[in-house]
Amino acid sequence: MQAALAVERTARWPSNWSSEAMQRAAIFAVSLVCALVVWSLLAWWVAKPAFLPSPVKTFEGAIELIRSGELQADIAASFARIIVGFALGTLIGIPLGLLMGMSPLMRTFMDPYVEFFRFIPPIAFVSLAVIWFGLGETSKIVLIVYTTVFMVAINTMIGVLGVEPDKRFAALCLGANERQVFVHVVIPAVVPNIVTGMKIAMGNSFMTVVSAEMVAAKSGVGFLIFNSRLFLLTEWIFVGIITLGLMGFITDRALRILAATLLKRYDVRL
Amino acid sequence: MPLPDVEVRNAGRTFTKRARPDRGREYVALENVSFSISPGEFLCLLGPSGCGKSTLLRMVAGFLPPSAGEVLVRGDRVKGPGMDRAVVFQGDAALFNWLTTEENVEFGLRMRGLPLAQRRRIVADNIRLVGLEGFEHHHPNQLSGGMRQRVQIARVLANDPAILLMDEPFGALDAQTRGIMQQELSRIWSSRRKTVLFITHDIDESLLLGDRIAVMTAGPGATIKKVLPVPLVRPREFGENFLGLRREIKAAIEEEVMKSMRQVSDASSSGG
Repeated sequence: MQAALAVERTARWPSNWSSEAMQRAAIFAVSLVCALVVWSLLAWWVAKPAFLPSPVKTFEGAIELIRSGELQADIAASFARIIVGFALGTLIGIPLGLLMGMSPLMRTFMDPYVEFFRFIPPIAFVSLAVIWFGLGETSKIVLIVYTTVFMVAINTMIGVLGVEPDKRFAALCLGANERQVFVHVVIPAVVPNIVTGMKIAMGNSFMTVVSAEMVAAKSGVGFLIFNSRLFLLTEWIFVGIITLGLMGFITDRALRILAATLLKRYDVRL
Repeated sequence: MPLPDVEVRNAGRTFTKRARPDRGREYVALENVSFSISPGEFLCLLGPSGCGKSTLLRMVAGFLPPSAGEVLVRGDRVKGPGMDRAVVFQGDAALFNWLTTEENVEFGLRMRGLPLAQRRRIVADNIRLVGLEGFEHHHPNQLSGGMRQRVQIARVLANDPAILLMDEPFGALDAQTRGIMQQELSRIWSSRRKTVLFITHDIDESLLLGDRIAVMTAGPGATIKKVLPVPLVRPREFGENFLGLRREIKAAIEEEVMKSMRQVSDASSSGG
């Protein structure tokens, strides 16, 4: 939201763009330095690296993990699961949501499931997924597909229900038939809702993959975090957590840039 | 006598209330409404707010079936929306905000599968007619309220419908823009001669635009109070000749406004 506002402001006064961007970058840097200082002080005060490693120690841990190639492998494993599950889930979720939005019968039929599963986080299904789909990739991907389908379908459905009736009416009296109304009015009108659903689903996918990797996996950032605990390598846990934050940040930015360039005309706001 | 383009015969519309505390209770919005519009005629439907003017327009458009009576368009009973009746909506929710001005105007032509060259020509003609040259590639949210209504008008005119249904198209505009749009519509109508049903609660607007003015009573059970011809030459401007007719319409409509206000105060005193 903040970013969206900032974008609007800069769009209106393009001449101010560079100075405002500079200012933001400076504040960003100061904020980071503050965090590092507080962290260093705390670590120095606690003085037990196994309890709270310092930034320097964490950085050394990261170098170590990168040198051995372990960190890259874990990042790749987690990302692969997220991307496959997220893509599959979106591909199923969009048509399902459209169907639920368009057909009252389908909506009523799905309603009990939606209301029931709404309160069950994907993490609750981790053990079941392992029993059913084993320790391999399938169990993690299935869980991500589940959370993505759910979020994308519900947001798409809400979008369909929110299409202004006057838009449909306008299309009908301009000579469109029902199929054309669906393709040329309903679908473009719900694009922002679909993107919102995908964005929430992406966040959920991260949570899901990490928890699944903690319970049952031989790779992935979640595995790295959980496994490091066994050896009391607290700095590796920190590396894992920071990596996750960066991965989330990067995917969020990527989604934003994609939406802003490819879906510009649909007025998608992230 | 030629067949009227629009004929409404003893039409009524009843709604079942869905909100508490009157859930399930019936509300008679329109009762026994009859009027007709000849080909090429500009009829203004004038009434106090909340009297069911829009409901009536929606029935003619085919968005809403009448609960009683019938609505005929060129002799055929209305069964749903059709290309012969284009609607200009009050708000801009009816515009396709993901499409540019040009693409909005092109929409109907594209749905009907017209060849590209023909579409291009018609779109350019109508954009010029409503004075939106230079804004072809703007999206609705980049246009002012008056310009958005121009897009709506160009969009329906591109489809060349016989009948134009306009639901308070300038109601949300500021006074200056509204004045300009009224003049523009008058000009466009003179060049394209459509049959128009124009809804408004603005007496001056109806006097500027209408060949006849149908004044409605206040709801519930609203109906046509009287139909007045406007024997003024076009292009019209406010002047002495306006005043007599204006006084007559004003008296008629004020009576209805007072009636609806009395109903509201009755309802609140009995309810509270």
